[in-house]
Amino acid sequence: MLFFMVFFLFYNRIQVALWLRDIAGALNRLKVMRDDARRVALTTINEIGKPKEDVTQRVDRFLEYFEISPVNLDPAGIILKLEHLINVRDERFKDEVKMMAPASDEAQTHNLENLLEATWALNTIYRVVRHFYLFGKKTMSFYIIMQLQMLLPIILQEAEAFSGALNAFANGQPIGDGAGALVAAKLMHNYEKVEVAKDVVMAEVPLDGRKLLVLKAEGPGGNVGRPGDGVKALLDKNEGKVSMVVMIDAALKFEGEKTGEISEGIGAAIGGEGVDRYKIEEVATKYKVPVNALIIKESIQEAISPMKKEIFQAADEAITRIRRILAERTKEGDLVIVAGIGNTIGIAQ
Amino acid sequence: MSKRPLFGVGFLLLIFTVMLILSLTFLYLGYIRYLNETADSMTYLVTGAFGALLATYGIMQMRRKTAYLHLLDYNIVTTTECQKCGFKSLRKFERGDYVFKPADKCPKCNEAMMIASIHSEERSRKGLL
Repeated sequence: MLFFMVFFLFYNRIQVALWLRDIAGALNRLKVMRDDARRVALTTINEIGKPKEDVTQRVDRFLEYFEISPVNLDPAGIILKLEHLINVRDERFKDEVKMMAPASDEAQTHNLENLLEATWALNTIYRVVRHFYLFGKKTMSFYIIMQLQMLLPIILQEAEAFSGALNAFANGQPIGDGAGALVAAKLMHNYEKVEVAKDVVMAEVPLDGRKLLVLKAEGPGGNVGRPGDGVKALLDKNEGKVSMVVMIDAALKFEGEKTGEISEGIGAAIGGEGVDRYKIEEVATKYKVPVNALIIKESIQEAISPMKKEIFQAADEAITRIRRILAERTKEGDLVIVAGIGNTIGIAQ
Repeated sequence: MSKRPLFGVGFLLLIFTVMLILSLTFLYLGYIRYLNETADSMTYLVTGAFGALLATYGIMQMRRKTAYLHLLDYNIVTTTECQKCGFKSLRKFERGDYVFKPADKCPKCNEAMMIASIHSEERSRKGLL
């Protein structure tokens, strides 16, 4: 009986030991993924970029890169600060990649940027988990260790998604996130394209008696462009005389939902830090233009892994939905902006 | 100062094993006492059963789980299509392929083909760490 009493007294300690063991195993997996990502990044840079000197140190420096978010105690004007920060980051990333891989062309530079960002994400996940593991072990804090152990499935799922994306970025394969860009590409293919904002192309496409202004990020390099600037430029140019804006983007599905299912709604369907969404909401409100959204559902892994057949096929279904929306909510001769949002890696126009 | 966990994995395994042996002994003693119709046989049986359950649960938790990494192996298929006659051809993805890239000439009508789709077919496998 004494034995059982001792067991109950130390139950928490035993539980902590078991959790720490689980976390140590997960940390080992994260380390393997991080090391593998670094290896893939170095191999691809050497293959594509033909650097004149060893880039290992430069890649390792990049993996430790950080950015400091703008102060939000006084939120007025924070979007402009955030946009400036994103612009500086994009330029910095591009310069770094150009220095690492001087022989790469524009599309390959974008792909290498994506590859390095995925590697950076895996390195950051590993460092954060290691920090809390060691900190929990050091303080033997029941609550730190418990929370970390409970979050492990989500953390590992995200890390595995980044790990699965590495080859897609290295080889320039379309990824699930490009579903919106694919819809726009299918609509604008064979029509003349012009650049309306940085890394954003637009084509005038006649469809069912309406004139569509279709825009997407410029492919086939891994690029999301600045669709917010694109939509704003088109609305300003047409002085708001646009019947509606239709945005198509990939969105996370709930567990139990089918990949490639399409849902309709309203609002600016676009992810990211919020700068593009803010711009679209601002300009749409200014001209009182309704914004319709189509989302193509997929999981977090599918969003950054090579595009699945179901997602590819969903692009045709999305075009059918757009035609139905046009028929129901616009008249012949109307002007409509269609924005395909997402990473256009492996998708030209 | 860094604290170490009070119980190591090997020590925990030893505790649970000793606990299981003790519990089984209690169960055996309880059974003998039950046959002899001794009054405290139920105490032995309940303690033994409870301890055996607890120890088995502990050992199950301690089982060394083989660390598997759920690796996804993608088979990427590039489909080229003739714009004129609709002839389709499937092949493995090659670096440099992208959707709408001009491809070889159509073997049927000799028109230029283009890449119409690039998609993955997922094959899940497990890689031992």
